[in-house]
Amino acid sequence: MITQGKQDRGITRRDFLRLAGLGVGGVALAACAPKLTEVATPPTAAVMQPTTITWQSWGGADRFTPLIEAWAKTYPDTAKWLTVQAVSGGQQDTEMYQQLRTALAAGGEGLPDFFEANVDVVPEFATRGLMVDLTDKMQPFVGDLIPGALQLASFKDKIVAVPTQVKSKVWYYRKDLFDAAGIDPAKIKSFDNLIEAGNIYHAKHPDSYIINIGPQPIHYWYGEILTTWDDIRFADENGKWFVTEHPGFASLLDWTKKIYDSGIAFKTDDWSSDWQPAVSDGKIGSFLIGSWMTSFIPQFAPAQKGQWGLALWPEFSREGSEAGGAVVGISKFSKNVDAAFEFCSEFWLKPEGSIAWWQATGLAPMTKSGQSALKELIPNMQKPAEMSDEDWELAPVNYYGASFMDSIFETMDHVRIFPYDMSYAAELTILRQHTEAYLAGTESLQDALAGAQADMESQIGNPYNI
Amino acid sequence: MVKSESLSCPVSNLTAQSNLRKRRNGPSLVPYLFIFPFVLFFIILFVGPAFYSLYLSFFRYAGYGESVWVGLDNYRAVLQYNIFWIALKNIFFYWMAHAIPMMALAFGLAVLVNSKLARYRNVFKPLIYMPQIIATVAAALIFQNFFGTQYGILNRILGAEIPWLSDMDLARWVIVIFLIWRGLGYWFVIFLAGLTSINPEIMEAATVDGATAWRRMVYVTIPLMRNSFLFAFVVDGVVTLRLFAEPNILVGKAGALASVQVAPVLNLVIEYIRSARFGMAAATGWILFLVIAIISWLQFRLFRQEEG
Repeated sequence: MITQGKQDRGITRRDFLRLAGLGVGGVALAACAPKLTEVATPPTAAVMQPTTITWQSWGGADRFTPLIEAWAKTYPDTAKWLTVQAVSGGQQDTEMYQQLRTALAAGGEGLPDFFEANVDVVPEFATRGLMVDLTDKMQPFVGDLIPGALQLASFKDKIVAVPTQVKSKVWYYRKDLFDAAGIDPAKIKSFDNLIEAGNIYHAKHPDSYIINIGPQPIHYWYGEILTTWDDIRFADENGKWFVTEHPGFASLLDWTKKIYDSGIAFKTDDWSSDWQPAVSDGKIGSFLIGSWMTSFIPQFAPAQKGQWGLALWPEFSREGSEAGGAVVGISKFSKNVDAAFEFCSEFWLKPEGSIAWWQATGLAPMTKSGQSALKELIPNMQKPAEMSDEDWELAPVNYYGASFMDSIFETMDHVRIFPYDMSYAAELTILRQHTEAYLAGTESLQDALAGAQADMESQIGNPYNI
Repeated sequence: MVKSESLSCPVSNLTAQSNLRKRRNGPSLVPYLFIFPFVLFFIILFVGPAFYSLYLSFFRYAGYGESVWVGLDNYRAVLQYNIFWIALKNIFFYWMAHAIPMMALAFGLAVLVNSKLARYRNVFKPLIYMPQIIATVAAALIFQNFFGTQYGILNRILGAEIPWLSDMDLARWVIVIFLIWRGLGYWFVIFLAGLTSINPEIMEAATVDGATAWRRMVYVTIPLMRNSFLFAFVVDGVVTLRLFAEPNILVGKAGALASVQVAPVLNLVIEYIRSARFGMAAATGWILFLVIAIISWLQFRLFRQEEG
């Protein structure tokens, strides 16, 4: 087991975004939020025997040790008997999953009491029996969970985790540029409306584009588009693949290429070296992206304070999620399941804990009661004494306006989680290869879909049976 | 008899005594004791896992739980996968495109710095070696900014919008330039060491015999550097065929692996491991090992034929 302070260093994939979001957004939001003492924190735990539990996550123990401290401040009575130790699972989520697999191979030796996981690996660890069935324990909270959070935590009619983060689809747009072009995001219903609006926008602002997309679209774009359909999946449990059959896959490729070819897009991929300067230069007028972007735009374009708005995605692709979200699962090898659930429920399912979580990370509460508490809190926020004026100006509440969390909450009502199987990473790699070939014009739409399906059949076989 | 020999020839007497001791005690264990720790760890940490991965390559295995014997299916699946062939083609391209210009440049610089014409050698040596000591990630970030399409330094100078890193046909060449830039200093040092080890008397003899600088280079220096070249081409070939970091950091975005159009074979291994398909990862690794072994064997053959 890797302990605190011995974590690896490195950055990859969407965890880069997530961790950076946690860091940048968390700091900004935490700093601009009021003191914890302003939140009522009724004692929630009975006096119990001193217990120590371990929490494994990625990004280094330094990332989530402050979260444990935030919980302890919020629930001092529980913290008297419950000690939570941070265990680093490496810098990336994939490193940690590997550690979990190795620990499982060793009969459970070294497994933490509970661990964080992105939702795409829940099927694997739930199927392999690593995650304790929390259905009964979660019952008191189910009615309060937002729908997307309940989907995140569920697997095959059971609740196997506690949700911590829902990644909703948010349309960030330049209000000033959209207004000047006479475009109202709420009136864009269809894909054709989007293209039309893009053309109007570019005609009004010749140096700017309504959106950006490059020849190698970023991985989260795929999840955002595919989750538009509620019945989409790569394959069924018998290993029958649907890439050529389900219209969602064809639409993903079709929409991407049409946006790419239509002239409405600034042709650079997210996180390329051109992306950030293009934002600050005003060349990109909006992002169809995930909710984590909230904390990045102020960093990319500090001079554009007050010019960005948040909206729902266009109606044709409003439902869905960027990459699902994240959960914490309790290990079946844990000897302290009750204590672990006590911590998880306090931090992520109760309003006071949800506020502490938001203050520490900038991530929205998973419960309706938590969202209500946050709504009451935000308008009254004052600049913390330790925060500089510059940082306070860029805090989301000032950069976007006090109602920005209302917009985020509204997008969370439209969250739909992709039905992940046990091979999503491999499926995405294959799909991306053929999408890029289609964008480059080296494969037709039919060839790209057929090629992707053939590769999935030969490489993955049955994705539910790894 | 022995006594008289020892008086007349003490060295041969010592040798005889040593041989006698060897015969009496058997072969000395001391050298084996010295290499024992290495051999032990080599077996535990390399040979053992290598053979285990060979064993795994015949199973479907998620890293835990039940493993299912699949025979050669993993190898068959990898060899049927077009991404594997694209990746294999990519690493061959990187190797062929960068090795010859880089070696020629490194050798040329080594000759120049080693020549009597060169001044400020102590300045040039660290300057040429410097890219080696810059972290790959940092260097790749510099390259990303240099080769950006709209805001890149190079395109600003050229007044163009060439998609160096987003058009994968161009990105391949940027990766090659990066490999040359990074590797040049290392091979420069190796060649410089090789050049300084050439006995100057041989050069003087060739000069006295009337050989021009060019002839000395072609008929004396290069043949005497054959072992350095063999080492350089074999090691650089192995390293390049196992390439991973450079294309992924340079072309990958947000920490993701690079597009398959420029991906090396190791990306496939990583993808398999990340998706808990250890059998496929092991099979890919062993196929790559075979490719590297064959290439290295061919290089040895080629250099030895030339030597013959």
